[in-house]
Amino acid sequence: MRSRAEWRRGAEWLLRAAALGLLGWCLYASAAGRRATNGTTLATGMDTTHASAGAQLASWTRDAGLERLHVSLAAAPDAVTRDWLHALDAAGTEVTWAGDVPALAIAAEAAADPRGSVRLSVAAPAGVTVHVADGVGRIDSVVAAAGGGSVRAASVVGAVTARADATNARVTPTSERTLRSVVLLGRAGWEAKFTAAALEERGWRVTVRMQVAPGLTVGSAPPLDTARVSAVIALDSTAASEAPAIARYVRAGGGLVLGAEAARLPAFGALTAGRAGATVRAAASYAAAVAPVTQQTLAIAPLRALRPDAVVLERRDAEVVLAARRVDAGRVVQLGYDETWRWRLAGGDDSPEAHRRWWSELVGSVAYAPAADVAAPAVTNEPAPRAALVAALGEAGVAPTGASASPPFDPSRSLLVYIAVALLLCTEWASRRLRGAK
Amino acid sequence: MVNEFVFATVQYDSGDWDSAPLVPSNVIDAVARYTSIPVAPQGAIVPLASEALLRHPFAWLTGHLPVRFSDAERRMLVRYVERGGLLVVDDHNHDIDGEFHKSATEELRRTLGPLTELPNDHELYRAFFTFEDGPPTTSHELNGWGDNLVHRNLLAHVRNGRIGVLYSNKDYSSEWSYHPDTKRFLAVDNTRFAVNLVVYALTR
Amino acid sequence: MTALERLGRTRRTLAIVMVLRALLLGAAAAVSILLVVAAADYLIGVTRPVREVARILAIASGVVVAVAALVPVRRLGDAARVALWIEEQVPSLRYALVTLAAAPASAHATAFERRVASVTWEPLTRRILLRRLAMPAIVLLAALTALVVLPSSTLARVAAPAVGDALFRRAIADDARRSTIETLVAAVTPPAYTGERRRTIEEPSLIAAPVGSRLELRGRGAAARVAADIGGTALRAVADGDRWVIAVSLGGKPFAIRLRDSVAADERIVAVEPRADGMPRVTLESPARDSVLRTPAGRVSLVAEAVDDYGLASLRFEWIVSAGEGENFTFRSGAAAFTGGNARSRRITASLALDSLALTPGSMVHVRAVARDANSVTGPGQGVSETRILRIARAGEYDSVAVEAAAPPEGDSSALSQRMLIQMTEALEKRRPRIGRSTLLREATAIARDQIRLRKRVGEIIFQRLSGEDSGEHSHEDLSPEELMAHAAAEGGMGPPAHGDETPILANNQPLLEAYNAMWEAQTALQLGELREALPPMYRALAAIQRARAADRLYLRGRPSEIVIDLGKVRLAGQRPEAASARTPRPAPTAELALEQRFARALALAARDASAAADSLTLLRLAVIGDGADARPALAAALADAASRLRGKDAAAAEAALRNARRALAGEPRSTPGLPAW
Repeated sequence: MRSRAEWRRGAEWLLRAAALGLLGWCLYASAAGRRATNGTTLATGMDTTHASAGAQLASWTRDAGLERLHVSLAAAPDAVTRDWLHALDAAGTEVTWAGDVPALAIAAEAAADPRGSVRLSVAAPAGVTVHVADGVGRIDSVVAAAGGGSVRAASVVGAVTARADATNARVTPTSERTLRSVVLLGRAGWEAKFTAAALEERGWRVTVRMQVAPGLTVGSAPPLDTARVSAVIALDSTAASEAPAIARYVRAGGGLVLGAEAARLPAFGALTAGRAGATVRAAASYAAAVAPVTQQTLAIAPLRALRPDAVVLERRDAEVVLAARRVDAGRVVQLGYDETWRWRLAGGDDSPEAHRRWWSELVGSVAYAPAADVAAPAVTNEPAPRAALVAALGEAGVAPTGASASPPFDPSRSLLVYIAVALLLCTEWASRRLRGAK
Repeated sequence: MVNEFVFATVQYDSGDWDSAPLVPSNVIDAVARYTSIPVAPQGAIVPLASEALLRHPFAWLTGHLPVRFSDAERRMLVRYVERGGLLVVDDHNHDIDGEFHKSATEELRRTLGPLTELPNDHELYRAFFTFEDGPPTTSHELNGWGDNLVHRNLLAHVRNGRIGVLYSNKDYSSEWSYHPDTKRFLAVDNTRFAVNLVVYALTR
Repeated sequence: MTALERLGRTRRTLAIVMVLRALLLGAAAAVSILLVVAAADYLIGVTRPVREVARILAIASGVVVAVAALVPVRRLGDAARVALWIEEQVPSLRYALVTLAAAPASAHATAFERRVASVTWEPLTRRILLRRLAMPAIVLLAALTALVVLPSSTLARVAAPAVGDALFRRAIADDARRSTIETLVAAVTPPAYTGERRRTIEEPSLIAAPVGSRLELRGRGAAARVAADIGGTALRAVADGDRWVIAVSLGGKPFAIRLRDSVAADERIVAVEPRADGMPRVTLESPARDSVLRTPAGRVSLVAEAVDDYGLASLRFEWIVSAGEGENFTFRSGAAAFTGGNARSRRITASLALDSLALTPGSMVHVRAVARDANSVTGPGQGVSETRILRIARAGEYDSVAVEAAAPPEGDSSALSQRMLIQMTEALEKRRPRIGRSTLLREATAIARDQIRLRKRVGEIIFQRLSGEDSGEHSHEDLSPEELMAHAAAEGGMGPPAHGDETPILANNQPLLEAYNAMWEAQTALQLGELREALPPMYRALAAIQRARAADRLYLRGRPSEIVIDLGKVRLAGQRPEAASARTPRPAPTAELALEQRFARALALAARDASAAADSLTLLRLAVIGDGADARPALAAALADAASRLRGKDAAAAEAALRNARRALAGEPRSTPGLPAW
């Protein structure tokens, strides 16, 4: 039977062996590199910006024996990282990727708006919250639905970034639009007056022709062509005399806003998005006479029998109250609202501004407004990072067979291993010294 | 018909707001007589403090007695003018020393800011008929009523290039307060300027 | 003197010395701390909060040290211990003193007394005690000497830190090239009526003060190096010792002072926002509502309260009595109460006796309260309450009768009114000393011509009334007043009026005849250029016309029947003009656009140079603040917050503040789920 001292010596020997074994493992791992089985390197949770992943990319690039590289991504890599991976792929290393990278894309378009607002359209999977920011900071957030969401911002500084999870899409807005005058044709009345007022207060140049008496008008209609006119608003039957000129103008690329009364004229039949129905008003009452007017309580002439190419823009309950369509090169939007001036005059505190904005956006949505100039963006645009990733590396794949999904453990780079070696050796030395050996 | 011009007479708490009851029908008659503007055959009476005022972008205010607006009337007047309404105020006394003039102009200045003289070449005087010399004189000015002065200019509070409040010492309330049927006896219709007021309101 | 008496005297000396030593030690501690802080301020500069803390610390340390040094004094109560201390210093006493102190009534007391009497310890103990005082005194003296050596301004900064003393800091090595606008102190002296005290602000970027305040900006260095302007208008910096000062008065508009030091290439902007003195807010508490009174009797209680932002000068009730109906009203007014003073709020009561107002049925009393503030800069602001109307019921106020009114007689637009002729004559009389005789005659004749035309018009009216016929067919235009009367009476079938026997028709028209007569007189004087002689009859003519007016006017009573216009019948029946004028477009919102562009530039700057962006936002704030119609207080507040945050260190707070400012300027961005279909 072995004595206690012999057991102790045996244990000391085991401790020494364990320490040496660990050191040997480190040496082996260091020499063998991070190459896994089948010549595939797995990178899980890889950094997605070049600044942090640069060393890793450089290491892979220097590894001449790297046959396959599979990266697991938590977000879309930035353009440099993506292009680097693409370059590795092109240089002979088969690069595949996997990960839950949201299909995010952003477009920023200067609206046809004298105040220079910007329409930001974001494509993202439904339910994803997208934060939109510019050079100054966050602008707004939108929860994507039915393909994405949109944000209308008064102005942006520099490039606009959409962020969903950790993925960023970035784009520089298109340059401002060249706006020309808006021609308003109507009868002398509150609707014509306040429509012109709303547009002028927003910054549009408005040329009006309002009929006061037979053969007597305030103002006159200018020649209609896209070199001078961005859009025409035909509110009522007094526009009938200009119908042929308006039709020519629209087919040449101009914009037309058609009021319900004008839309009923046969002369505009070829341009309408649908048939203007009878006007529906709320029942007259004292309460209705003093209650604030909202867009929802305006009288409407719902659009019926929509043309196949008509796009519904607004509905009230089941009724279509705003629809648009393209007519050759031009665009037409047909109004189903009546007496929108009441919204401005008798609405809530913000109703004048809402009325102004609504009319301006309505006209802007059809206006002929070419881009002012085309300037090169100051930053690299990355409008659709997942699409770019797929274009560079193909669709997302799965990890190669036989390779572990977990990251390979490199003992030579682990501090714990060296602490363990030190502890083992200290324990062995203490045991030896305590029993009096050298 | 709803899309029509309705002549609104403003009812205010102080004073005699209904001192010229025949003006609305006479103005309506004139608008129909000279223009094709859809117009309601009867006027409306609208309290100055009521939201209902905002249904009438043109409103007429007159009286003889001192005018003191309540806070609610003041707030509504500010909203009305800010949103594009036109209030025509006429001194039924035709007297710059009169209490209506002094109190009404003070209230208007206090509520909206300064009233300035409207130049006599303003587009109001050419909006439909042309009045080369500015506001037409009234028989009450020429025949010795009120302060016995011919007022050369109307006063106005102009906002964003448009008249928000037009103030008159001419006493159109007396001038136009007669049955429209008797208009046929006039060589020149003296309500023609009312047409300019309405056309200006509807087109500017 | 016995041994114990000598011991007692030494105890008292010891106590005095210990107290003195404690005081010296305390003072030395306090002064030493001040010295350290002053030296640090001289060498590297110490902020005001640190100096304030150091001052408190110095006082506290002095007290603590002194109290600690006084603790041993209580030991002096034990005579034996004092005796032992003396024995320690003078061994030759051989414990005789101690023994006497411990047991004064012992049997050997006399022997001990003799021994003690043979020894003199007082000179020795005095020397020892003086040595004890020497060290703290030296330390205190040294510290005080060092403090005196330092610049007096440094000493003042440490001894009495004050807002604005940054200007008085003296450094060990003042750099001549240092910017003269690096240190900036503003002193605001509000107008006396506000009762506000003078304020000093260090490193101001935005100063708000009442209109009429005097603002002094001070800095260090040569005045000649400082260039300052307000919107391009240069301001002069005046030397004040080794400092400079710029003084401006605050008007009604906000402005920015731009300061530049060309040598140091430094620039600063100070935004100044005058705070307008608001009108007093007046509430008429009683009467609470309009009322209709059956009889004009009794007293009405009047209660009003006024509040002002600085001070009220007066508060009083005003009333106007209007009597009459239809188109004939008379007005009287007066004040019912008055109170002086300069309080920020005041409440007054009064009682209005209706009996004293001579009210008649139909009369109305319009009551309101009027307050004036004490503003002596832009004139007293006046606030008025709502007006309450007390009406006396008329007996038949619900009676009505429909009157179909006729169109008014058409006016002769070529005739000038009598009041205008008077005004023209008065104006000419004023100008008379400066114009020649020929000009005077020419203009007076022109007025005379108008006066003749007006007289003829009056003559026509008189003739028409007296005769009942139109005057057009008669040539009576140049009749004298007497001839006119006779002619009209003859046409009307009346004989010429006998003297003093007027018919009622004649009596009714008497005022117009008087006017006619006076106009005749006036025209004669005017034709001779005798304006002073012409004016009295012109005044008489006006007064007569006014009297005739009161008798002539047609009154409507009751409400006429409602008229519904037959639109079909009258539509387009009138003669229309051939063309209507063009419409002038509304002015483009250029100010708003310019504001947005300036804001966009400031935002773009924020990423590169936060300080410059903060200055831009401060200037932008000045553009939107004020009390005009274009004022945007919410935006001004958001801009001020953004500017302030940008000057701070918190980037997240700055971003949030900028976001708020963007939204205040252009509204909330609108996000819509789903991609737009169009």
